[in-house]
Amino acid sequence: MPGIEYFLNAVTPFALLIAVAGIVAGVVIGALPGLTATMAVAVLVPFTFGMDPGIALIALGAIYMGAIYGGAYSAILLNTPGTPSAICTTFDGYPMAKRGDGDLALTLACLASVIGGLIGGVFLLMLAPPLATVALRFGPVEYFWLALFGLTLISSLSEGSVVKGAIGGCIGLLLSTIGVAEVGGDVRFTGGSTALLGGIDVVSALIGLYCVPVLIELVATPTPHMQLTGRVASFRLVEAWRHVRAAWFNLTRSSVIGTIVGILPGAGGSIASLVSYSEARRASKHPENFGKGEPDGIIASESANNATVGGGFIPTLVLGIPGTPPDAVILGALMVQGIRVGPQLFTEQADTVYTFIYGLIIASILMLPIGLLVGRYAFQSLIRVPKALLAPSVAFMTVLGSYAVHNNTHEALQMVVIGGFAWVMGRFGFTASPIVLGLILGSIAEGGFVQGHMIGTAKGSVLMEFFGRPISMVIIVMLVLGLLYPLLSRRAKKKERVNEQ
Amino acid sequence: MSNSDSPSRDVRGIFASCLIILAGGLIIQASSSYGMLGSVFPRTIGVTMIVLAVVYIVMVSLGKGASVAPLDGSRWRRIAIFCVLLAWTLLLDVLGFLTASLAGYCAALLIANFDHWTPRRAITYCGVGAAVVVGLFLLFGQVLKVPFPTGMFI
Amino acid sequence: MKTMKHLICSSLLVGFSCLAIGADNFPDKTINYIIPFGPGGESDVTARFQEPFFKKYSGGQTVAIQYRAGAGGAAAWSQLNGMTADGHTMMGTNLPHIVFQPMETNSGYKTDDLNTIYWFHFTPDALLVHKDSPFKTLADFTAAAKASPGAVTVSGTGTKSGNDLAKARFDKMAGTKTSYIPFKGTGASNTALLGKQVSATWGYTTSALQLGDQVRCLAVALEKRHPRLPDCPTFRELGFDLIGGVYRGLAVPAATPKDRQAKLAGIIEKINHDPEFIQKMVDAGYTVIDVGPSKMVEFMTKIKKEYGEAASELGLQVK
Repeated sequence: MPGIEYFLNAVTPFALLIAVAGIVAGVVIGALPGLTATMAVAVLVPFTFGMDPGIALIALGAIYMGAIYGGAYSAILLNTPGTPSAICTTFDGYPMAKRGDGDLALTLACLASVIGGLIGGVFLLMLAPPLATVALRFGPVEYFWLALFGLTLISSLSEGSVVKGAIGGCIGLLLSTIGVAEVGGDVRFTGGSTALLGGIDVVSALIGLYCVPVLIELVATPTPHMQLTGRVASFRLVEAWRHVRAAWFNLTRSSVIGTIVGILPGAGGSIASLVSYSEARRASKHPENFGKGEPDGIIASESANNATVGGGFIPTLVLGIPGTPPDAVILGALMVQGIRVGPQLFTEQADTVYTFIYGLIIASILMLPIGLLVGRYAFQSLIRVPKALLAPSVAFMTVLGSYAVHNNTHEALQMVVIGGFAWVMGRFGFTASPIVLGLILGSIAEGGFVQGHMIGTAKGSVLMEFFGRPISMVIIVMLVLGLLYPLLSRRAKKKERVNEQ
Repeated sequence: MSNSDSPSRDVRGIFASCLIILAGGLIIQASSSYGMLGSVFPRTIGVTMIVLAVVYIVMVSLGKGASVAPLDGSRWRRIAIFCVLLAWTLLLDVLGFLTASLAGYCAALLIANFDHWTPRRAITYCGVGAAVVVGLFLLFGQVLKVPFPTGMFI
Repeated sequence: MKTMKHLICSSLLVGFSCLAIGADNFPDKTINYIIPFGPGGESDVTARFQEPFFKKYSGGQTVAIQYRAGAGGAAAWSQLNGMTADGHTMMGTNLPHIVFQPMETNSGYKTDDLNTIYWFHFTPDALLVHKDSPFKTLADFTAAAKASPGAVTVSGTGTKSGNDLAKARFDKMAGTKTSYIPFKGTGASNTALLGKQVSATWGYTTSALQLGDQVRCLAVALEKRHPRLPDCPTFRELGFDLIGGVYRGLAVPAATPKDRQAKLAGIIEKINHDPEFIQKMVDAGYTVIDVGPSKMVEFMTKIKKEYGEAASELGLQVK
């Protein structure tokens, strides 16, 4: 174990206290829709300036980890991802909660988050310098192909017609182009409105797309918002553990995907959770259960997004390049502390770095008791709330959350308009998830394409730039297989059915 | 879930597809005014949207495609809650964040309640509502330092 | 009787100080410090450097740093004048952004709308290459760019930004043609350099220090060498009269009372002269400057003229 001599620094009572406080603060902030992990870290950064650098890092890492996990609460209980990373947790978490298995879903999310966080942390501890080079192998072209690969996930995310899913994806891509173009500076599709210059914010769009339709349906009928099973909600730890143990492969795969996506600057927890969710669905023996309350879906999403925390720290600490948006804030805090990141950090400031890494690993373990307790409390109070109070409270949280993204009232308005649009689209058979996928991946795809095109032109061959690079070729192969897979599996199933008959 | 064997065709889907073809055309037209770099992407999306919508129309006319199950429940409540949200967010700057939210909360409460109003229920619900709104408002404003708009009131 | 007099006097005093609210007590609550970009960038880091000193020089009040990213800053700048103008709201401003953006597009604000009260530092431009790059000196770079025009790629942040301007100015001075690849933010631009996706990067002295020995600094756009980069020559030493970078300042809504504006500017000035603050800034690669309210008009007139000429000369389309 590298730096084991610093392990004791991370288990002093003060360090543990800081880790617990960080996790609790992070979980609470992350659970509120609209408050992302980035905001949680940014808001709490000033509190860490007086601390020793290693301890300050533990605090920030714990807040980050807690916030990513906290997003699962509102995802499961309200169908609204508390942070974008929890998008895929809504797919199966909310159906489970609706049928009365909310406590099980929360415990599953907690176990998966802890294990994902641990795996990410161990990668950070053991392999940070070599893995950091992965971040550098990804140029604009690789990001372009990766985004296209991400878009093929529409086929596994869309319920109903795949063609409608693809159209939804296009609508999302289109939404992502609104505002001033990153590259080239054109002002696009703003209709002359200054408010739209900054583009559509992903977080407020997410609240609108997922939460407003739920709210509209919530008030339409008097049926209770969650099925009451008559028994007292408990941890259901044994049952959850059985699920997690059976899904060990899914868990490992999702955590590794999460770590790698975390390492890539420009991708983040939301992409990690989307990729591992659809991989889990593709590999599952019961893909038809996904989206209807399948525990494997929650396990995939939650282990992947918590693994991005450890993964994201790899390029942050080794290269000085933030792996995920919260890492950017933490990197800023490090500079304010006077810590110079870079490969030399692991030798010159080994005490700080290893204290932090062990602290992060311990923080993810501490998430287990904290998460279970908070989860149980949140679930019990949510069941007891009468619908007449739940609906206005959720409405208030959507307004508050979308406002607080950038402290802007027009973003709250945007949220409502997008939400109404999503409900109408839903009536025409277009679901929200492909739109979200397009919105998240749009700017990555476009930026990568235009930059790749410019670099290719400068080098003399655009085609070589796009198709001649080794990692690009691997992604292209994955992309083609991903597109063909549904066709192949359908054919295989038909054959099976014919044989059975 | 493709219910290709169901008798009902996805007429709504055809209607939506027509709108999307129209939208695709408008996008292509709008992007002609942008620079080379800025127009490639929107134009590609516009074309893809048109193609996909045409494919969907063809699919439905061949008897495929997925229609949406009809809704049950109250239509006026659905429309009302959306209007409340719209008014709520539009009034944030005019009335002030807290006032608009208290008003919005009450309106949403009226829409969401299916039981009979008794004095006791009214008092409990209003009390809890006020506590939720004011509590979160203070948490965000005082602890998390989120600046709220102040209009006519707070 | 005496006590009566005292009472009247003190109540009058209290009354007067209430009338002159703010003049004496300002700032009397937390000041909102809005960064028009995402967290982790240079605007954020320098604001974080200032943060602890605000408490020291403002009579105990703190600042709350908030982010309103979007449209390269325009999303926030276009809203500044609509914000509460009681002196408790201020926003970071950047040059050349606030001059170029309104020229090129309908950005929602005009340069003169932004009431900048203090420019407190600047980040000098620097040309960086990967440590394994064949370009050992600036001469190698220009020679390669002349030998095959357009084939040398340089990354930078955004279009019509400080990096874009530096690239265009240098190309004109050196008679070279290089291909500028805009990225979203300094982090992405630096990643492209470290990953050898591009031949060089137009960055800043701060990036040179942050990336350390992973990169080589070919030249900096300063009058004298930067104390923390003694091995990196200035463009002037090498025969190019290139001095520039990104200036960062603080603006308040235009309707903010003048005395409060002056008081805020005074606080920023005091911070700017604190030796501990200066040391932190220089260590991270920044250069502290002092353009306060008295020099503001003159400075902005000069800068606008300079950038206006640069913009038309360099073919940035001016609307």
